Amino acid sequence: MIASGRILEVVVLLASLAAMLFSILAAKRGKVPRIRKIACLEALPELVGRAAEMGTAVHFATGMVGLETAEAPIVTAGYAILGHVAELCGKYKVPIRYTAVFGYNIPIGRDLIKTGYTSGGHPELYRDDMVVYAGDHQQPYSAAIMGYIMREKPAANMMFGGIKYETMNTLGAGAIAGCMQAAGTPRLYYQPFLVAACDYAMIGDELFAAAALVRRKPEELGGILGQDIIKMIALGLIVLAIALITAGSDLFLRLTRI
Amino acid sequence: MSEIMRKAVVLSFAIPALFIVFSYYTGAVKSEAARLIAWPVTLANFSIILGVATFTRYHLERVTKRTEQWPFNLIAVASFMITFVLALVAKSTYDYVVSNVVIVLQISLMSFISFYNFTLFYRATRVRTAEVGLLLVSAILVMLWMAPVGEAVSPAFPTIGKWINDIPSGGAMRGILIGIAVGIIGLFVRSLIGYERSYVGG
Repeated sequence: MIASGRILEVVVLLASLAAMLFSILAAKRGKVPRIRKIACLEALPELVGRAAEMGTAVHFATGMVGLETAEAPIVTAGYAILGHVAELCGKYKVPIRYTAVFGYNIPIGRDLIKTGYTSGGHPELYRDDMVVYAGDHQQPYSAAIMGYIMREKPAANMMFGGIKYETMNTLGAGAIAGCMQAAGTPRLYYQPFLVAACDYAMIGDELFAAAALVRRKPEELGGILGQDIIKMIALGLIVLAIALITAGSDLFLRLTRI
Repeated sequence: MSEIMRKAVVLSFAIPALFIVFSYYTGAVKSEAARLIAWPVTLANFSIILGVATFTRYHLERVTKRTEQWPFNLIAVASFMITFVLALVAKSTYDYVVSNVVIVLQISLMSFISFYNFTLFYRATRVRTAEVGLLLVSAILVMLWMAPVGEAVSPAFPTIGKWINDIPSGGAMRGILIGIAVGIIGLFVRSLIGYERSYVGG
């Protein structure tokens, strides 16, 4: 039934599913895990508050990675943060600008911002032109963001999602324009730039955790505990693999091939 | 988005995802799964129409309202229209415009990265913490390994730089990578069972 060479993968997937379900159901029954604070997520109200004080806007981008790719979960995590920031903007009466790179970003962005402003208590502040389409390429996308940042000088610049090399240009422009910057991506090669360029950054899998944390629902917090259980299992497997290979056994390697 | 619509979006993600997972692990219905994987790409390509409509409306509105810097909005729309028409009626002129205007502008924009690298490096140096100090020293040593000048100054620089890149940095990167993979699995599983709905504002 299961294709050869993928049995271990199925076992890992089922174990992950079991760990997630176990922790989600436990959280729903009242055993809500205590999650450490993510500094960048905690700082978002400060960034929006700064924009409110300065009377300028907040800029948001979710990056060049598309929903039709294998990295779609990164983009959806970015959307979750966009919804949260839009809610904060609605609460503090701050305009937001979301630069869209793909056509389908437009209805998604508009819907998230509209819902956010409504939840924040000021649906009347929402406008369709808060979402601006820049074109399906990296160069017009980064040019549009850089131009906007240098012209309008928003108080805060945020980039969460599947960001690529446009990060360098846009965060560089943000640094020159004096924006307070926050960004996060699990994409490995851009993390040093985020740390260097931003006031607050999410590295590694923090973006996924933040996406679950924004609503603070028990089942979502339980999901984070589930992830930690999977990490512990992975850590155990790594230690086992090191021990077996050091002892000269190829049992683990054979296991990965079944 | 209404609650019914939200559920529909979540289901429209979960059902095809389950089908693709089933096909991947069993090796069955491969061609159907491949077709299903091609759908989002096709849909994403179609969404460019929506993008063009939004782009044109946004810039034309700013032109008609004579907002600040409206001539740039006019240039944006005019550039799009001219290139679009040329692609349809005069292919050789279109190729000329792409080779001599678009690509040149793209290269110029890419070259900004080198300048911004310095801006970001300078910005990083202003932060006075031990961690940032460590980051900067490591970065300088790795740069001295990568750049030919490092070996010319001292043969030790390439050895130190390579060690930093391969051992502490490589180890940390792998650790982060495991965390990311688990994060993706977690988000995928949450989405499959319908608990991850924040991306639809739920």
